[in-house]
Amino acid sequence: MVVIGGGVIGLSVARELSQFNLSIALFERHNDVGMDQTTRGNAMIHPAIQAKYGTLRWEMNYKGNPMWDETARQLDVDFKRIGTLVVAENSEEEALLPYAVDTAIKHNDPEPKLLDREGLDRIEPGLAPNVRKGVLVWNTGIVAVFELLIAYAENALSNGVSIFLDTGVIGVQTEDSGIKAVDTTRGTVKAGILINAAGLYADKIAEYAGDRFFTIHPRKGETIIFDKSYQPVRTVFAPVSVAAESQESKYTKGGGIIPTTDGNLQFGPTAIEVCNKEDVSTTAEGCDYLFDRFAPLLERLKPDYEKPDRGKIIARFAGCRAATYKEDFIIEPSKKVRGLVHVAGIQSPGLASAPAIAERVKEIIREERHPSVNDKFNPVRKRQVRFSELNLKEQDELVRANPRYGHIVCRCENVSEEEVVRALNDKIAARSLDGVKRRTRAGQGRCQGGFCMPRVVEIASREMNIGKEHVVKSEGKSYVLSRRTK
Amino acid sequence: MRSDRALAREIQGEIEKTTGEQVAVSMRDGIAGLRGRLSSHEAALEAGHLAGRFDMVREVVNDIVFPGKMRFKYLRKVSRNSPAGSSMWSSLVVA
Repeated sequence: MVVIGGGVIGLSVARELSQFNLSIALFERHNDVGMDQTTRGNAMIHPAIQAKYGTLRWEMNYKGNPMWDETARQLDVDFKRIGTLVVAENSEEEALLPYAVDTAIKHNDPEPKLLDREGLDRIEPGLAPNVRKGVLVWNTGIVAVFELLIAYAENALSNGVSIFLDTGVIGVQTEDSGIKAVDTTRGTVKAGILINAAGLYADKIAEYAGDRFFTIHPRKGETIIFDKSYQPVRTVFAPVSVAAESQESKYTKGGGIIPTTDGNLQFGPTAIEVCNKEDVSTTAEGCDYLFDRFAPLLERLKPDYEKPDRGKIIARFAGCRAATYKEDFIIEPSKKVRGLVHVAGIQSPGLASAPAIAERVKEIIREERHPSVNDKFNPVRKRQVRFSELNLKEQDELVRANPRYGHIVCRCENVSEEEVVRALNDKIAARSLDGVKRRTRAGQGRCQGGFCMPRVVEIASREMNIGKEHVVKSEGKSYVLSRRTK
Repeated sequence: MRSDRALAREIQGEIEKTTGEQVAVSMRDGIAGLRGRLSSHEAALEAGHLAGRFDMVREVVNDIVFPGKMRFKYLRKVSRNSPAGSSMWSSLVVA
């Protein structure tokens, strides 16, 4: 069996299917996992209130959201249910709050809570005096998304899945209306089952297989991230004006004020239709739009807190959502090609839906192929030590046992040399500075790699046994250094 | 129940009314196929969304071209990186 796509959907599906005795290979065109959509979103586990009720998108979100506690526990990944707080600024907006509760109930979200000022203060202290009521949708979560991808990949690997990075699919061979083989940039693989989880290129894979019945049109979202010193909210913060706008939005919720598991605040993402699936450029307009839209809200509703400051924006990034024109998920066996299963059109809330999508695909395979159960399947994965999370005594012991823990490479995030070395030698090893950054947080702090980058280049060069001038920032020819100068 | 042809005509009319331009629309097994040339990316997107809003349309294949449309091209490359996982690579039939 071949799974195409190393994003959260492909990886979660591969892991789920490793519960069967199948020979599974996963192909990812990039040199790392989750490079297209998964790591370019807001890492939020959505409640099922925004997807249109009755659609597959809603159903997967509704079923997937409650699965995250168990999934995060099994994979040992940071996950927090921080809730979405919808607050009213005046009596007119207060009158709209019961509708927010009704909407949540209609979408089968569990127990939305209508809060008075006392209740609000417990959840989100320091709100402006005019904020007297709000609604808490408590099951909104946030997850450490890159850690999650690595965890899914590691767990899939330990259960027998083979993961091939840097391996693009360039053709699909069929015979007697069934999948026969998959052509990749590194050779051809025989396969009887093909899971099309290729995200932005799922329509291309469907075309290769002779079953193109949908088009993916990329919808770009830009996000801005603030320094950890700016943490004005604990919840996903949605004043009524923003929440109402989201409900009216034709295609997506259009961004929000969202904390991350690492303690940064993010504004975004935007939602702009683009014609190039590879367009992950950030723009001054996008950054200005997000800041001008959300900063005044925080300034007004959290008056005692530090004023939002553009100087605290430490990074911005963008990614494209893989939308279809029906704006719904496609999770189904092909009607034309035996052995082909499409898992396409997965956009927001794809991350929240991932465990449910994986389970749905497992059911499809079970019904179609009746595979035997893998008795050795182990859903548990343990993460490795993070130096910055230890207390001084534990750090001291670790340094004594391995002095490389005592060499701090990234001062902003307190990342040690040993963690960088490990990232470059893991089963799913980093192959670039961005890969190291995503695994260790070296370069994700206030200075954004200003201090640690030369050191990481040096370590990467040593560990990968390549010249420093061949170390890349992301992939391809994104060399960090152009040539030797002395 | 509308026939495929009637539905295609309805979608075509809706697109023409909204964009002011003409495209060819086909319908088969609930799949709407859009072909032709429109003046902009926005118009092509709008055509796709209009077709997608019809309840009887299960999905939309949008092949409308517009000035500056990016064409997908896969870069053939061979990586130097070792694959992770088992030794399955040795069992590959290389083309």
